[in-house]
Amino acid sequence: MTMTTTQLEQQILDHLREQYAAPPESTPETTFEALEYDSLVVVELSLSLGKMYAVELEDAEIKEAGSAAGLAALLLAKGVTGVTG
Amino acid sequence: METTVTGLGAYLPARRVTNEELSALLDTSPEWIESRTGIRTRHWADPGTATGDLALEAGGRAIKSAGLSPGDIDLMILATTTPDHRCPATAPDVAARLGLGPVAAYDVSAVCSGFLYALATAHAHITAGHAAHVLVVGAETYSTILDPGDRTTRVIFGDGAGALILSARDPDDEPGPGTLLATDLGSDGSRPGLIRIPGGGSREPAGTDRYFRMEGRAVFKQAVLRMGESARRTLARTGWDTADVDRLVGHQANVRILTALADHLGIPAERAVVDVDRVGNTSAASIPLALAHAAEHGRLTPGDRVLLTAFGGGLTWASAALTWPDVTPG
Repeated sequence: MTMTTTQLEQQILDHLREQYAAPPESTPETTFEALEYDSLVVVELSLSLGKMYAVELEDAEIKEAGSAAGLAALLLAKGVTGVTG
Repeated sequence: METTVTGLGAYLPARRVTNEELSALLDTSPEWIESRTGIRTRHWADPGTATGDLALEAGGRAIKSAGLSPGDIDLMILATTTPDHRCPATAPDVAARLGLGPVAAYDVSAVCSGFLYALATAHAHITAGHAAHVLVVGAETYSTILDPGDRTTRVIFGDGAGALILSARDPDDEPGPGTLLATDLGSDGSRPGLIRIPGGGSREPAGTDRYFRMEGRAVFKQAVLRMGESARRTLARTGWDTADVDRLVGHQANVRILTALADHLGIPAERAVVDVDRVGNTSAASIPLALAHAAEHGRLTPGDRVLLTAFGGGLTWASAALTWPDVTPG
Protein backbone atom coordinates (compact mmCIF):
# COMPACT_ATOMS: atom_id res chain seq x y z
CA MET A 1 0.00 0.00 0.00
CA THR A 2 1.38 3.39 -0.93
CA MET A 3 2.17 5.71 1.96
CA THR A 4 0.91 9.26 2.18
CA THR A 5 3.43 12.07 2.34
CA THR A 6 2.59 12.64 6.01
CA GLN A 7 3.14 8.97 6.84
CA LEU A 8 6.48 8.92 5.06
CA GLU A 9 7.60 12.14 6.77
CA GLN A 10 6.72 10.61 10.15
CA GLN A 11 8.52 7.36 9.32
CA ILE A 12 11.68 9.27 8.37
CA LEU A 13 11.39 11.48 11.45
CA ASP A 14 11.15 8.33 13.61
CA HIS A 15 14.31 7.05 11.91
CA LEU A 16 16.11 10.34 12.69
CA ARG A 17 14.96 10.11 16.31
CA GLU A 18 16.02 6.46 16.70
CA GLN A 19 19.32 6.51 14.83
CA TYR A 20 20.42 10.13 14.56
CA ALA A 21 19.61 11.62 17.97
CA ALA A 22 16.82 13.95 16.79
CA PRO A 23 15.11 15.15 19.97
CA PRO A 24 11.45 14.25 20.73
CA GLU A 25 10.25 17.77 19.94
CA SER A 26 11.59 17.70 16.33
CA THR A 27 9.11 17.97 13.50
CA PRO A 28 9.40 16.95 9.84
CA GLU A 29 10.40 20.56 9.11
CA THR A 30 13.26 20.70 11.65
CA THR A 31 16.39 21.34 9.58
CA PHE A 32 19.59 19.29 9.66
CA GLU A 33 21.32 22.49 10.79
CA ALA A 34 18.99 22.81 13.77
CA LEU A 35 19.71 19.14 14.53
CA GLU A 36 23.46 19.95 14.31
CA TYR A 37 24.11 17.18 11.83
CA ASP A 38 27.70 17.05 10.62
CA SER A 39 28.66 16.17 7.04
CA LEU A 40 29.01 12.47 7.86
CA VAL A 41 25.29 12.24 8.74
CA VAL A 42 24.53 12.97 5.07
CA VAL A 43 26.59 9.94 4.09
CA GLU A 44 25.11 7.78 6.83
CA LEU A 45 21.58 8.74 5.75
CA SER A 46 22.32 7.94 2.12
CA LEU A 47 23.27 4.45 3.29
CA SER A 48 20.50 3.80 5.84
CA LEU A 49 17.66 5.36 3.84
CA GLY A 50 19.01 3.79 0.67
CA LYS A 51 18.73 0.39 2.31
CA MET A 52 15.36 1.00 3.98
CA TYR A 53 13.70 2.19 0.80
CA ALA A 54 15.79 0.29 -1.81
CA VAL A 55 16.75 3.48 -3.61
CA GLU A 56 20.00 5.22 -4.68
CA LEU A 57 20.56 8.48 -2.87
CA GLU A 58 23.35 10.96 -3.58
CA ASP A 59 24.91 12.93 -0.73
CA ALA A 60 24.12 16.22 -2.50
CA GLU A 61 20.43 15.32 -2.78
CA ILE A 62 20.20 14.51 0.92
CA LYS A 63 21.98 17.69 1.90
CA GLU A 64 19.57 19.70 -0.23
CA ALA A 65 16.55 17.91 1.19
CA GLY A 66 17.62 19.38 4.51
CA SER A 67 14.89 17.91 6.75
CA ALA A 68 12.66 14.84 7.20
CA ALA A 69 10.00 16.56 5.07
CA GLY A 70 12.55 17.25 2.34
CA LEU A 71 13.71 13.63 2.46
CA ALA A 72 10.13 12.39 2.13
CA ALA A 73 9.62 14.57 -0.95
CA LEU A 74 12.92 13.29 -2.38
CA LEU A 75 11.96 9.66 -1.83
CA LEU A 76 8.47 10.11 -3.29
CA ALA A 77 10.00 11.77 -6.36
CA LYS A 78 12.15 8.63 -6.76
CA GLY A 79 9.05 6.43 -6.74
CA VAL A 80 9.36 5.10 -3.19
CA THR A 81 6.12 3.71 -1.80
CA GLY A 82 7.27 2.35 1.55
CA VAL A 83 9.99 0.54 3.51
CA THR A 84 11.47 -2.54 1.85
CA GLY A 85 14.67 -3.27 3.78
CA MET B 1 44.55 -29.15 3.63
CA GLU B 2 42.47 -26.88 5.86
CA THR B 3 43.76 -23.64 7.33
CA THR B 4 43.43 -23.02 11.05
CA VAL B 5 44.38 -20.07 13.22
CA THR B 6 46.74 -21.32 15.90
CA GLY B 7 48.43 -18.20 17.30
CA LEU B 8 47.80 -14.50 17.91
CA GLY B 9 50.02 -11.61 18.96
CA ALA B 10 49.73 -7.84 19.20
CA TYR B 11 51.99 -4.92 20.04
CA LEU B 12 51.45 -1.19 20.54
CA PRO B 13 54.24 1.34 20.98
CA ALA B 14 54.21 2.86 24.46
CA ARG B 15 53.43 6.49 23.62
CA ARG B 16 49.71 7.14 23.93
CA VAL B 17 48.41 10.32 22.25
CA THR B 18 45.13 11.81 23.45
CA ASN B 19 42.58 13.97 21.60
CA GLU B 20 43.42 16.78 24.03
CA GLU B 21 47.07 16.71 22.99
CA LEU B 22 46.19 16.85 19.28
CA SER B 23 43.60 19.60 19.78
CA ALA B 24 46.29 21.83 21.24
CA LEU B 25 48.21 21.60 17.95
CA LEU B 26 45.39 21.51 15.37
CA ASP B 27 42.19 23.45 14.70
CA THR B 28 39.94 20.86 16.31
CA SER B 29 38.55 19.73 19.66
CA PRO B 30 38.36 16.46 21.58
CA GLU B 31 34.57 16.56 21.16
CA TRP B 32 34.83 16.95 17.36
CA ILE B 33 37.35 14.11 17.05
CA GLU B 34 35.35 11.75 19.22
CA SER B 35 31.93 12.53 17.73
CA ARG B 36 33.22 12.28 14.18
CA THR B 37 35.38 9.18 14.56
CA GLY B 38 34.85 7.56 17.93
CA ILE B 39 38.61 7.78 18.53
CA ARG B 40 39.88 8.77 22.00
CA THR B 41 43.53 7.69 21.88
CA ARG B 42 46.07 6.34 19.47
CA HIS B 43 49.68 5.13 19.91
CA TRP B 44 52.64 6.56 18.03
CA ALA B 45 56.08 5.02 17.82
CA ASP B 46 59.05 7.03 19.08
CA PRO B 47 61.42 8.38 16.43
CA GLY B 48 63.86 5.61 15.56
CA THR B 49 61.25 2.88 15.93
CA ALA B 50 60.21 1.53 12.55
CA THR B 51 57.41 -0.73 11.33
CA GLY B 52 59.72 -3.76 11.36
CA ASP B 53 60.34 -3.26 15.09
CA LEU B 54 56.61 -3.42 15.81
CA ALA B 55 56.19 -6.43 13.49
CA LEU B 56 59.03 -8.20 15.31
CA GLU B 57 57.25 -7.89 18.66
CA ALA B 58 53.82 -8.93 17.39
CA GLY B 59 55.26 -11.79 15.33
CA GLY B 60 57.26 -13.15 18.25
CA ARG B 61 54.18 -13.08 20.45
CA ALA B 62 52.08 -14.88 17.86
CA ILE B 63 54.70 -17.64 17.51
CA LYS B 64 54.73 -18.11 21.32
CA SER B 65 50.93 -18.07 21.41
CA ALA B 66 50.88 -20.96 18.92
CA GLY B 67 53.32 -22.96 21.06
CA LEU B 68 55.75 -23.03 18.14
CA SER B 69 59.42 -22.19 17.72
CA PRO B 70 60.65 -19.76 15.07
CA GLY B 71 62.06 -22.68 13.07
CA ASP B 72 58.56 -24.12 12.63
CA ILE B 73 57.44 -21.17 10.49
CA ASP B 74 57.63 -21.87 6.74
CA LEU B 75 56.56 -18.52 5.36
CA MET B 76 56.12 -14.94 6.53
CA ILE B 77 53.81 -12.37 4.92
CA LEU B 78 53.78 -8.77 6.19
CA ALA B 79 51.06 -6.30 5.25
CA THR B 80 52.03 -2.66 5.51
CA THR B 81 51.79 0.78 3.86
CA THR B 82 54.72 2.05 5.95
CA PRO B 83 57.62 -0.31 5.21
CA ASP B 84 61.00 0.39 6.81
CA HIS B 85 62.33 1.29 3.33
CA ARG B 86 60.95 1.44 -0.21
CA CYS B 87 63.39 -1.37 -0.89
CA PRO B 88 63.87 -4.07 0.27
CA ALA B 89 60.59 -5.34 1.73
CA THR B 90 60.36 -5.32 5.51
CA ALA B 91 59.40 -9.00 5.90
CA PRO B 92 62.87 -10.55 5.24
CA ASP B 93 64.49 -8.36 7.89
CA VAL B 94 61.82 -9.24 10.45
CA ALA B 95 62.04 -12.93 9.52
CA ALA B 96 65.80 -12.84 10.10
CA ARG B 97 65.46 -11.09 13.44
CA LEU B 98 62.80 -13.59 14.51
CA GLY B 99 65.15 -16.45 13.64
CA LEU B 100 62.81 -17.97 11.06
CA GLY B 101 65.65 -19.07 8.79
CA PRO B 102 65.73 -18.66 4.99
CA VAL B 103 61.96 -18.93 4.49
CA ALA B 104 59.98 -17.04 1.88
CA ALA B 105 59.19 -13.61 3.29
CA TYR B 106 57.45 -10.76 1.47
CA ASP B 107 55.34 -7.66 1.97
CA VAL B 108 51.79 -7.22 0.77
CA SER B 109 50.63 -3.72 -0.14
CA ALA B 110 46.84 -3.22 0.03
CA VAL B 111 46.60 -0.35 2.53
CA CYS B 112 43.82 -1.00 5.04
CA SER B 113 42.79 -4.25 3.30
CA GLY B 114 46.40 -5.48 3.60
CA PHE B 115 45.99 -7.86 6.51
CA LEU B 116 43.08 -9.74 4.96
CA TYR B 117 44.86 -9.78 1.57
CA ALA B 118 47.86 -11.34 3.40
CA LEU B 119 45.58 -13.77 5.24
CA ALA B 120 43.94 -14.93 2.00
CA THR B 121 47.37 -15.33 0.41
CA ALA B 122 48.64 -17.40 3.35
CA HIS B 123 45.48 -19.54 3.15
CA ALA B 124 46.20 -20.20 -0.53
CA HIS B 125 49.79 -21.28 0.25
CA ILE B 126 48.55 -23.68 2.94
CA THR B 127 45.81 -25.27 0.85
CA ALA B 128 48.34 -25.68 -1.99
CA GLY B 129 50.59 -27.61 0.38
CA HIS B 130 53.45 -25.05 0.36
CA ALA B 131 53.54 -24.38 4.07
CA ALA B 132 52.52 -25.95 7.37
CA HIS B 133 52.78 -22.77 9.46
CA VAL B 134 52.57 -19.20 8.16
CA LEU B 135 53.21 -15.99 10.11
CA VAL B 136 50.86 -13.25 8.89
CA VAL B 137 51.59 -9.78 10.23
CA GLY B 138 49.90 -6.40 9.84
CA ALA B 139 52.22 -3.60 11.03
CA GLU B 140 52.22 0.17 10.59
CA THR B 141 53.90 3.40 11.65
CA TYR B 142 51.46 5.84 10.05
CA SER B 143 52.80 8.49 12.42
CA THR B 144 55.73 8.73 9.97
CA ILE B 145 53.51 9.69 6.99
CA LEU B 146 50.96 12.05 8.53
CA ASP B 147 50.96 15.76 7.69
CA PRO B 148 51.17 17.54 11.08
CA GLY B 149 48.88 20.27 9.73
CA ASP B 150 46.17 18.02 8.24
CA ARG B 151 43.53 17.42 10.89
CA THR B 152 41.59 15.06 8.62
CA THR B 153 44.34 12.43 8.87
CA ARG B 154 46.46 13.49 11.84
CA VAL B 155 43.75 12.68 14.38
CA ILE B 156 42.76 9.37 12.83
CA PHE B 157 45.78 7.18 12.24
CA GLY B 158 47.87 5.31 14.79
CA ASP B 159 50.76 2.85 14.97
CA GLY B 160 50.80 -0.79 15.99
CA ALA B 161 51.21 -4.38 14.87
CA GLY B 162 49.24 -7.60 15.09
CA ALA B 163 49.93 -11.11 13.87
CA LEU B 164 48.26 -14.48 13.39
CA ILE B 165 49.81 -17.89 12.87
CA LEU B 166 47.96 -19.94 10.26
CA SER B 167 48.61 -23.67 10.33
CA ALA B 168 47.71 -26.50 7.99
CA ARG B 169 45.38 -29.17 9.30
CA ASP B 170 44.48 -32.45 7.67
CA PRO B 171 40.68 -32.49 7.20
CA ASP B 172 40.67 -36.11 8.43
CA ASP B 173 42.04 -35.01 11.80
CA GLU B 174 39.79 -34.37 14.78
CA PRO B 175 37.79 -31.23 13.89
CA GLY B 176 37.97 -28.24 16.18
CA PRO B 177 37.37 -24.50 16.16
CA GLY B 178 39.73 -22.11 14.40
CA THR B 179 39.18 -23.03 10.76
CA LEU B 180 39.41 -20.34 8.12
CA LEU B 181 36.37 -21.11 6.00
CA ALA B 182 36.25 -18.56 3.19
CA THR B 183 37.84 -15.38 1.90
CA ASP B 184 36.95 -12.72 -0.66
CA LEU B 185 39.22 -10.09 -2.21
CA GLY B 186 38.51 -7.31 -4.68
CA SER B 187 39.67 -4.00 -6.06
CA ASP B 188 38.56 -0.93 -7.98
CA GLY B 189 41.52 0.91 -9.40
CA SER B 190 39.43 3.56 -11.12
CA ARG B 191 39.49 5.89 -8.09
CA PRO B 192 43.10 6.20 -6.98
CA GLY B 193 42.69 9.75 -5.77
CA LEU B 194 40.63 8.82 -2.72
CA ILE B 195 43.50 7.34 -0.66
CA ARG B 196 47.12 7.95 -1.63
CA ILE B 197 50.62 9.23 -0.93
CA PRO B 198 51.12 11.36 -4.07
CA GLY B 199 54.90 11.76 -4.35
CA GLY B 200 57.98 9.58 -4.18
CA GLY B 201 56.87 6.74 -6.44
CA SER B 202 57.63 6.17 -10.11
CA ARG B 203 54.60 8.27 -11.13
CA GLU B 204 56.03 11.38 -9.37
CA PRO B 205 59.64 10.54 -8.41
CA ALA B 206 60.40 14.12 -7.39
CA GLY B 207 56.94 14.75 -5.98
CA THR B 208 57.19 16.66 -2.74
CA ASP B 209 53.93 15.54 -1.13
CA ARG B 210 55.06 12.44 0.76
CA TYR B 211 52.14 12.54 3.20
CA PHE B 212 49.12 10.24 3.38
CA ARG B 213 46.02 11.88 1.88
CA MET B 214 42.41 10.71 2.06
CA GLU B 215 38.98 11.97 0.90
CA GLY B 216 37.11 10.99 4.07
CA ARG B 217 33.46 11.32 3.06
CA ALA B 218 33.79 9.51 -0.27
CA VAL B 219 35.80 6.78 1.44
CA PHE B 220 33.14 6.36 4.15
CA LYS B 221 30.42 5.45 1.68
CA GLN B 222 32.61 3.25 -0.50
CA ALA B 223 33.87 1.45 2.62
CA VAL B 224 30.40 0.50 3.86
CA LEU B 225 29.13 -0.56 0.45
CA ARG B 226 32.22 -2.55 -0.60
CA MET B 227 32.74 -4.22 2.80
CA GLY B 228 29.04 -5.07 2.79
CA GLU B 229 29.20 -6.70 -0.65
CA SER B 230 32.44 -8.56 0.14
CA ALA B 231 31.10 -9.78 3.48
CA ARG B 232 27.94 -11.09 1.81
CA ARG B 233 30.00 -13.02 -0.76
CA THR B 234 32.05 -14.56 2.03
CA LEU B 235 28.92 -15.48 3.98
CA ALA B 236 27.48 -17.13 0.86
CA ARG B 237 30.66 -19.23 0.61
CA THR B 238 30.38 -20.37 4.23
CA GLY B 239 26.63 -20.95 4.10
CA TRP B 240 26.14 -18.61 7.07
CA ASP B 241 23.30 -16.16 7.32
CA THR B 242 24.04 -12.71 8.78
CA ALA B 243 22.07 -13.87 11.85
CA ASP B 244 24.66 -16.65 12.33
CA VAL B 245 27.56 -14.21 12.75
CA ASP B 246 28.63 -14.02 16.40
CA ARG B 247 31.27 -11.33 15.91
CA LEU B 248 31.76 -8.80 13.14
CA VAL B 249 35.33 -7.51 13.12
CA GLY B 250 35.52 -4.70 10.59
CA HIS B 251 38.59 -2.69 9.73
CA GLN B 252 38.79 -0.13 12.53
CA ALA B 253 38.71 3.12 10.57
CA ASN B 254 35.93 5.03 12.30
CA VAL B 255 33.25 3.87 14.72
CA ARG B 256 30.54 5.40 12.54
CA ILE B 257 31.65 3.26 9.59
CA LEU B 258 31.45 0.17 11.83
CA THR B 259 27.93 1.11 12.97
CA ALA B 260 26.79 1.83 9.41
CA LEU B 261 28.34 -1.46 8.25
CA ALA B 262 26.60 -3.51 10.95
CA ASP B 263 23.31 -1.81 10.05
CA HIS B 264 23.92 -2.37 6.34
CA LEU B 265 24.53 -6.10 6.94
CA GLY B 266 21.65 -6.46 9.40
CA ILE B 267 24.03 -7.57 12.18
CA PRO B 268 23.19 -6.26 15.68
CA ALA B 269 25.61 -3.48 16.60
CA GLU B 270 26.56 -5.16 19.88
CA ARG B 271 28.13 -8.01 17.89
CA ALA B 272 30.58 -5.61 16.23
CA VAL B 273 34.02 -5.43 17.80
CA VAL B 274 35.12 -1.85 18.38
CA ASP B 275 38.79 -1.07 19.04
CA VAL B 276 39.20 2.20 17.12
CA ASP B 277 38.44 4.24 20.24
CA ARG B 278 41.64 2.90 21.85
CA VAL B 279 44.11 2.68 18.97
CA GLY B 280 42.71 4.81 16.11
CA ASN B 281 42.99 3.61 12.52
CA THR B 282 46.08 1.38 12.37
CA SER B 283 45.52 0.36 8.73
CA ALA B 284 46.88 -3.16 8.13
CA ALA B 285 47.35 -3.72 11.87
CA SER B 286 43.76 -2.87 12.73
CA ILE B 287 42.13 -6.28 12.40
CA PRO B 288 44.71 -8.36 14.28
CA LEU B 289 44.90 -5.68 17.00
CA ALA B 290 41.09 -5.78 17.33
CA LEU B 291 41.11 -9.59 17.46
CA ALA B 292 43.78 -9.67 20.17
CA HIS B 293 42.00 -7.05 22.28
CA ALA B 294 38.64 -8.79 21.90
CA ALA B 295 40.17 -12.16 22.82
CA GLU B 296 41.86 -10.69 25.90
CA HIS B 297 38.61 -9.14 27.10
CA GLY B 298 36.29 -12.09 26.65
CA ARG B 299 34.64 -10.78 23.48
CA LEU B 300 35.74 -13.82 21.48
CA THR B 301 35.22 -17.39 22.65
CA PRO B 302 36.28 -20.61 20.92
CA GLY B 303 33.71 -21.63 18.35
CA ASP B 304 32.40 -18.12 17.73
CA ARG B 305 31.52 -17.52 14.08
CA VAL B 306 33.64 -14.52 13.15
CA LEU B 307 33.30 -12.34 10.04
CA LEU B 308 36.26 -10.11 9.17
CA THR B 309 36.00 -7.37 6.57
CA ALA B 310 38.18 -4.49 5.43
CA PHE B 311 38.35 -1.68 2.87
CA GLY B 312 41.32 0.39 1.88
CA GLY B 313 43.29 2.33 -0.66
CA GLY B 314 43.59 0.98 -4.16
CA LEU B 315 40.68 0.88 -3.76
CA THR B 316 40.70 -2.59 -2.24
CA TRP B 317 38.39 -4.67 -0.11
CA ALA B 318 38.52 -8.07 1.52
CA SER B 319 36.67 -10.29 3.93
CA ALA B 320 37.11 -13.65 5.64
CA ALA B 321 35.08 -16.01 7.79
CA LEU B 322 36.41 -18.31 10.49
CA THR B 323 35.42 -20.00 13.68
CA TRP B 324 37.38 -18.59 16.58
CA PRO B 325 40.10 -20.92 17.86
CA ASP B 326 41.02 -21.86 21.39
CA VAL B 327 44.02 -19.54 21.50
CA THR B 328 45.52 -17.12 24.04
CA PRO B 329 47.26 -14.01 22.68
CA GLY B 330 51.03 -14.25 23.16
